[in-house]
Amino acid sequence: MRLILAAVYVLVLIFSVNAQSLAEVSGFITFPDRNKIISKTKFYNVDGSHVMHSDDPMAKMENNIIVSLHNLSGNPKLTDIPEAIITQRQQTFIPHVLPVTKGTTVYLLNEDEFFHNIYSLTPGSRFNIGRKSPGNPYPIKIKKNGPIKLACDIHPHMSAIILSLDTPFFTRVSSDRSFKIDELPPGNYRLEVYHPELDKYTKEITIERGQKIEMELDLK
Amino acid sequence: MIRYIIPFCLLSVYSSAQVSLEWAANVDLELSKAGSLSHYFYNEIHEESTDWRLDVARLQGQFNIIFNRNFSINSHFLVQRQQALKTGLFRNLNNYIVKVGQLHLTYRTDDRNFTLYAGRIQNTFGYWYKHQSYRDRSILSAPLMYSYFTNISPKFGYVHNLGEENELLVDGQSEFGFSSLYNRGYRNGFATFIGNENKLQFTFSAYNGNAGSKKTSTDPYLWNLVAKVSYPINYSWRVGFSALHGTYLKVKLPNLSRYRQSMYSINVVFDKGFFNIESELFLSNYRSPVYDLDAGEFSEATDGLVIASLTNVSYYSTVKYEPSWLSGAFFAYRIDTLFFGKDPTVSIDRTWDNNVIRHAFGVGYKLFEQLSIRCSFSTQSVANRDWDGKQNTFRTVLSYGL
Repeated sequence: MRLILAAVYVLVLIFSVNAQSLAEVSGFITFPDRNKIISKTKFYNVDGSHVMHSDDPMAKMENNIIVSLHNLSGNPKLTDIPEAIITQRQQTFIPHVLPVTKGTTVYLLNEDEFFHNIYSLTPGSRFNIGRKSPGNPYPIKIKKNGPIKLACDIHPHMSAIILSLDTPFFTRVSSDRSFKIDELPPGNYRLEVYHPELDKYTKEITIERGQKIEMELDLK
Repeated sequence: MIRYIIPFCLLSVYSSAQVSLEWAANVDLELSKAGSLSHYFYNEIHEESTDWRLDVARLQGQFNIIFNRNFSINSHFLVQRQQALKTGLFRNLNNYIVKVGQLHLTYRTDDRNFTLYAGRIQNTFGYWYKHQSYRDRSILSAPLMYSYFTNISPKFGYVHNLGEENELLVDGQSEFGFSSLYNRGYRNGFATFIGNENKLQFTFSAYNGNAGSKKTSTDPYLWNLVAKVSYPINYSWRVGFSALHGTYLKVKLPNLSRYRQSMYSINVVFDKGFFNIESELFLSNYRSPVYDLDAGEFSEATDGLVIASLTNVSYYSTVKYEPSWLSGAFFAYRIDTLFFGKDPTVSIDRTWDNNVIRHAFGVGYKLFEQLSIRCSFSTQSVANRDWDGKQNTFRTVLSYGL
């Protein structure tokens, strides 16, 4: 009995030490309001008044900022993101940016009452799924890193981005502009902030064992 | 109208902090070659430009002023090569014209079930108006109904052989006829869209001008009414029916009210997977005074002018295939016909213009989101004559979005 208790104690000790060794990066992001007076658009169809835009918060730019940490000293094991779905609702992709790990299968789901025809012209990830009626999510396996731009051949104003990452350490910035990535092994990292309308922000940081880092990032 | 709308736009932008502006533009570089009997009025390639020609065909821009969710001003501008003139790359810039294609105030309800355009608008008749922009075309040329000039003259009304066998010179200008429904024609008036485009939708429009004229008229006695209904049977099938009635011809003729045009169109659109098929069947009827070329005057009977009732039937069907294995590419084919009714002014059995059958093939590839290339080849037979290739066309357009 004493032997069992001792073994359990040792295991708990190991786990707690390991947990303490994992670090956390959190912070706030400031970026300019993108209420641009003048914006470039795509050509609408001539009857452009029928263009729809969803009011879903996940269609707004400020809710589609992704923070990721890329380990510079090793390749962490990537696991597929479950239930990675981009829907089409009211002629709008939701979310506008979907972060996934490379190798994940993303499902494209039409929730409108009419056809969409999703395609990508991004080099290394060109595809065309054809006209898809509502329901029946269509799987696309993501095979490259970086942003993969989606568009609809029927509704040219629609656009979205699958952000394929080579790291499991990423998060979406909250509506209060805060973020937190935890369970980080110690090491040297490149922090990246992806904003769909701004240049990519990068910064190299070193994370010590069990360290809690708080940052304030200004994307300007 | 433009002189009133533009200051209104500028004043609106200046006075409202909530206003936002959207813009887009693209430029088309075109390489073309055509058969020896080509003419802009028959196959959209000018007779003096039948050799290989590389040209900036057009620069088009879209500019929208968004006031709020309900109101906006939408515009479409074109710097366009005058098709009937000979031009070359970076030469003869005087042969380019600036056109204000659309400039209208738009009102739409929150639920998008009612939309009103008022100002300079596009003819809403039929289905093909959705392909007004070259970027949206799988076959570069317009269907015959929208482009082929028939024996209806802006000066004379119906004249046999007008521009088909004989080019008539009137006041030093060539007379070639009149298209049934000109594809790049813009009008002043209003259009309403009632219902949801993806469900049942009715469209009514009224505008000043001719459906078939290249030029915009300001003559208040010229008017056209268009009614249209479209309905999706299911996700794959959509049908539409259009009707148009109005006056036509732009010159101040003493008998303008005698010129009447009625058109009807049924369109069927089929979408499935990587295929898209668009078909339209037109029936057009003109009532036109008859001009006697030999006498040099309008024909008269005891009860007034001789009025001819002239009909034509046109049909086209375009099949487009986008291969799944080559994203951004498409292949297309279009069969296009224009058949004319019996000439009511003669006792012999002849049609009032020559029938036309055209086959067109298209291929395109979108290299990047901003850059695409489209090629089209067409061959046509006129009056059931041989397919001699004399009105063939080959066109390639490289389109770049700025």
